[in-house]
Amino acid sequence: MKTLFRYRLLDNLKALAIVAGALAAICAFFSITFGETEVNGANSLTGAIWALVIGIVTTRIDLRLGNQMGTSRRSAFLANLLGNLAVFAIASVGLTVLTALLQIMSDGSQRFVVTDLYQILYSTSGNYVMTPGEYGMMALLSFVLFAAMGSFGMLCTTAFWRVNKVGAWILGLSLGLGLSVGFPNLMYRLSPYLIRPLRILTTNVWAMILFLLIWAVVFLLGTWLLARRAVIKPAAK
Amino acid sequence: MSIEIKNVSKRFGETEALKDVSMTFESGKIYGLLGNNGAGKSTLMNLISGRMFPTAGELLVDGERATENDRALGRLFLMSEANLFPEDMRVKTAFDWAARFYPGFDGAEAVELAERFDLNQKSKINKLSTGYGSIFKLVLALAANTPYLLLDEPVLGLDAQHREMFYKLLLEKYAANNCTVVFSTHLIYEAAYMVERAVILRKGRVLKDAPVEELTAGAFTVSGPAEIVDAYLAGRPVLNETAIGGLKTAAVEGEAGNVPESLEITGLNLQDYFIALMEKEDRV
Repeated sequence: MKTLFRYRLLDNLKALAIVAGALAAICAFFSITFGETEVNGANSLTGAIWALVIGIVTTRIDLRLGNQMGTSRRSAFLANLLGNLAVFAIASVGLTVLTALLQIMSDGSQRFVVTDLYQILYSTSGNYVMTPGEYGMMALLSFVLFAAMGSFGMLCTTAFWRVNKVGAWILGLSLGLGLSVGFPNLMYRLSPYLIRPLRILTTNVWAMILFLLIWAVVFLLGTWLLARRAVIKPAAK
Repeated sequence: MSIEIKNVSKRFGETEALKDVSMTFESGKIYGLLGNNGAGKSTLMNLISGRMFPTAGELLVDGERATENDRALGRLFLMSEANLFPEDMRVKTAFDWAARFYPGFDGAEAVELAERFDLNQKSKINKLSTGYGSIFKLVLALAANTPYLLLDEPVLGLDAQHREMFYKLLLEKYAANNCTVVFSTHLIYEAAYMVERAVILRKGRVLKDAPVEELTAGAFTVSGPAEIVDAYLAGRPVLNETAIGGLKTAAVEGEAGNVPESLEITGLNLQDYFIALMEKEDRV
């Protein structure tokens, strides 16, 4: 398991470096080209999408490689999970440090403004450059957000792996329709009952952290239940 | 020290790929796992290596349950047609990681073998041709130095020269490590000289599980004028017959006994025995 964990961690760090480089390049491009740039929540949201992709892409790779190299599904799953969580932790700290540095450098400037999800929703200091404690909470929130999204990615990819072609069509269409039609409609109909919970989530960062953690655990349990009896087969050509 | 298969069955929907098979692959022997297409050879190897779960039965490696057991799985290496490596991984990177996964993996040997086979180590695994894909996996298998080596159609796509190289290297590896080799192949004639014991599967069941010498010594070929051959064959267990013009050749189980002068008796090699056995089963 240790070797597979190491493989996953190193592979993920390469992916993180690419995403971080792209993010920095995009910010620099817009700042230089257009003279002013406002980046709101991009770090967390970009990281969340990246974490989702990590979950989708890496799970099958590690289950396959693990089996070829004499590792059980259980160990491969754990190595994948721990490897992903490790890089999510590094990413959340890294993105927080990057945000803090950018904010310190651009403090008072009208040409480049960067904020993040935590600051938009939860910061109480009201300052552009937050306190160290707030940056710490920002990193923690980012981490659990990445963990939840990454776990969702793991669940999705494993679910698609377990079903046949017809099942994949049904799953894909259900997911698409669910997210685009079902979920918004459900939210609309439940909105009178959701106002209070949503207010709690958007005003209390610990509530949001707990909410995301619960979803991460649910997704991971689902992933393991699907992966534990999966037939290890090669990628389709 | 062995791999034990105990009353293993595997069902895929309506299809029973393996039906209550039992066998033991003992330490330090070369086994030929033979059978027609769909006999269950690959399924058996996939079950041993944990790629799928049996519907019933038990698989043990050195007395330990093989299923979901890192220690047991780490003692064997399966080389099969399926490529389970990440698509963008390069050959050399695979060697480096294999050395970390398998304590006995000899990286220097892997590099040397790759050079002997003209395998480009900088190439991405998914860009290799069928033949070189097999060579890549063969190199890994030979360099892994695990106690158990499972080779599922190892020479798929290899040219004659590379096949000969592989057989020679496999024998050298076996002699050096005294490992257990289980390999399935359709090219029985080429590999027969290496096989000590043959396990013949047919439609998911074990048809024969015996030393090769015992199997081939227990059958022979008789040929000559058709009428005399027919008379000779009366009451004997015939595996198969071929008639061309007035001449007939038949494979027969058992001992030759009293043979008329006009008939010629020859021994049966493993491939001919296998073919004859399958033809007999086809008639049943």
